[in-house]
Amino acid sequence: MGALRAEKIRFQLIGMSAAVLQGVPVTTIDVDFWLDLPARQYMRAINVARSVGAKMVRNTIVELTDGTLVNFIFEVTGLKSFAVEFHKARKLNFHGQTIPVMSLESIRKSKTVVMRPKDEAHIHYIDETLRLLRKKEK
Amino acid sequence: MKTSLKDWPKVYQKIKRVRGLDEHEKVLFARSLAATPDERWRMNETFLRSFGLWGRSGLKKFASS
Repeated sequence: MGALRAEKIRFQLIGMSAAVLQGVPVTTIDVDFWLDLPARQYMRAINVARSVGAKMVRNTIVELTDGTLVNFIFEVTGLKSFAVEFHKARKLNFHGQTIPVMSLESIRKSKTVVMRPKDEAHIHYIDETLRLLRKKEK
Repeated sequence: MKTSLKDWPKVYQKIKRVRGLDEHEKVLFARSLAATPDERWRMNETFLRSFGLWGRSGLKKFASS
């Protein structure tokens, strides 16, 4: 995250890794970063990751030195532009940095459009978390 | 209400009367909602590591299961 910032590449954490950080009790094996870059510039992101010791697994997937898999994403189905979502993102402390994390509402919105088999289960857990968060804050 | 994992019993008290969740799920949600983002990620990682589902090898196992 620090390396992306140093290269002035804007990013936000999305997908179920973002949902986990906001309290959705599920597991996910990778971390999804939406980058403010055109897809044709994917090597910029890969090179940033390599500069901190990551190994390239696929064109958009790297494995960090601690084993974490990071997936770089350049477009998100069902949502507006990177800038619009970036503005709406929550700022959370994670691994010693304050990072933009996509809101649960936006993650849900994207999943309702994509609707892969796993998304139905994810939406259920996101909905329950939003309901219980309101109870928690009462 | 700022909380961390150790505060999960307080969160549990707030959600214990919600409908549609069994006892186990209420504890699961209470812990997850009480935890900080770092604690939440640590729980995710610890759980997956315990099954050998972390990193590139985890991805392969996950895909073949």
